[in-house]
Amino acid sequence: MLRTTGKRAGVALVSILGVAVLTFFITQLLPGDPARIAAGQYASEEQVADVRAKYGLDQSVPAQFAQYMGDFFRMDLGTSIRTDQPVRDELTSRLPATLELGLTALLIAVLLGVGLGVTAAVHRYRIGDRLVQVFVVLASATAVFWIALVAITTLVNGWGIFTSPTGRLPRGFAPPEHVTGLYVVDALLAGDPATAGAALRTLLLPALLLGVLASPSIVKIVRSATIRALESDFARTSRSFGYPARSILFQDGLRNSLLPVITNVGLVAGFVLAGGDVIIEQLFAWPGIGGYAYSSLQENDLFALRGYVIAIGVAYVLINTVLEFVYGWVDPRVNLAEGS
Amino acid sequence: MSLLTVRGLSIQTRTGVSLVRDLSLDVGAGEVVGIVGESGSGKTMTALSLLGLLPDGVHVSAGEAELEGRRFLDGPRMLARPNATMIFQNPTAALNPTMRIGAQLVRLLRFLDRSGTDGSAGRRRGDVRERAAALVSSVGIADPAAVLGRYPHQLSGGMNQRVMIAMAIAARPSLLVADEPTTGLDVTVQAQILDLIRATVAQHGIGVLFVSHDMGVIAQMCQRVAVMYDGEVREFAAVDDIYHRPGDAYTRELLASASDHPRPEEVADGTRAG
Repeated sequence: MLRTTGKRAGVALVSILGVAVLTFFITQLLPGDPARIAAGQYASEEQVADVRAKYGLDQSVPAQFAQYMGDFFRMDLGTSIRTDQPVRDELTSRLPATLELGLTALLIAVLLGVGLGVTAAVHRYRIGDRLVQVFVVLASATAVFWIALVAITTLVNGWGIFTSPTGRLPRGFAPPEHVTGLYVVDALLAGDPATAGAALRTLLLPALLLGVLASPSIVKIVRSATIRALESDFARTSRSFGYPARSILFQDGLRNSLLPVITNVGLVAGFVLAGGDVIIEQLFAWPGIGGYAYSSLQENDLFALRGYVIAIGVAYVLINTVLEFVYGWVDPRVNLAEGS
Repeated sequence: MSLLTVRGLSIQTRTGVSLVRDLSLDVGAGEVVGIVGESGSGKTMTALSLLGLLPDGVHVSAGEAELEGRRFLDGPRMLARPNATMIFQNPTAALNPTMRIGAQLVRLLRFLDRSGTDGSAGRRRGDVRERAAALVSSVGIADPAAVLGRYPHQLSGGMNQRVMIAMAIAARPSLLVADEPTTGLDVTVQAQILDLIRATVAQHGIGVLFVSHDMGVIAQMCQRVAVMYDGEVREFAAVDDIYHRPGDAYTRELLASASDHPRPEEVADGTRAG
């Protein structure tokens, strides 16, 4: 077990290194000149050259790469051109907001995905299944920005069900004392249910949108895996003894469909943290790293973008490493020591 | 009086394709009756239909079945659960891959205790894990504790089939349906499993409906056999009669094809020639 853990950790480290190297070369390919944008539209060539020199952009690509990797190993992600702040500090201060939104959305996606997937499997090829399929098609085909705008117009402005999309708390509430960085949790820890409630209400709409849009892939996988398990030889064995349907659904069906779900959660986490999140954070003025990435991209802020991509890459590698251990726990047939 | 009586059983798919037509047979108490036939002859569908296990889209369209004088199957309707259990081809797939053998036995024993279908719910208060271990050793497994702690994929096919037999017996059925229980096992293991089935059913006085494509295995196990071809019973008679005086052209073909295989006596002795 210890050797396996070491091996997994090694693989994770190599993956993170790969993320860092790739990030450098991909950001090299970005169009536009960061120094030109940073210096301003009307700056002279000398001023642009000064900015270029300040950020080391005047050096050769190999020299920049060496500098970049050196900084990377010191966990220094450089200084943002746009805000002139260290990128690492900006990311870490914004990360809790993204985690609060992302984890809530992921939870909603998993609950919804497993619930609907199992429902569809139980009612397979009948009306309940068809209704779930309609949901899957609609949710897969809906663009994040469109449904988010529609939701803000109707649910917030029209009917006032949710609070305005102006960050993590409505006006008039002070952020709770920092413990975990998750406002709902922190407010509860501080014994302030009013703030916690307000934070939850603000969080709910963007998290629901992200979660619902991320759920179709989980629904599809849970449905097919549960159907396969329910029609398997071992489920037939259970039926031959006359076990109750509930027992067959949970012990034979759901238990054996969890493995592909876990694999898929890794992918959905990617969407929730980095895909839909960027747009949702922008639309809801959510002060997380997605909104930061969006602003950085618009202003060609090379270092901030690299920092963002690396942060997401590291999060992704960590999530998948944890999931590999969960596999072995859920399905005894997965042997982590072999075939790695 | 016969234990199991099946009359006029017909099985169809939803689209009307006929899989089994007008099948009748009976199994006496303590008797082993075979169904033999090639793949697709409908023998497995017949076995599954008796326990209400037909796959989606396949149903009994006509016929009835009685067990111990009580009617449990009337056309497409399952009137009651017959007191029968089943063992399957590919025992490793027939056990839940994510549960240890011990957990699967405990699940069964708890279920049987609750439902009391073995007619002795009040009496069996012993520790359920000890009962599981006793059950496993009763089917000739030397190290019950080790086997209970394993998952099906960590055991051989023969071992898993022993576990399946233990589970099937634990429910105290009056009829055991065995669907190709030794297909895919190697010859010596096959002989051991067949011996185990024979000894177990004799000990408990259980009737057996034994489905196989292998005439040699049928000859070894059964007193009577139904030869099936294309959904119909071509001949239903004592094994000796069918073996030595086959009345049907298809039965003769089946016997001729089986003569390439070792004779049943040789399998039983473990002295396979050639």
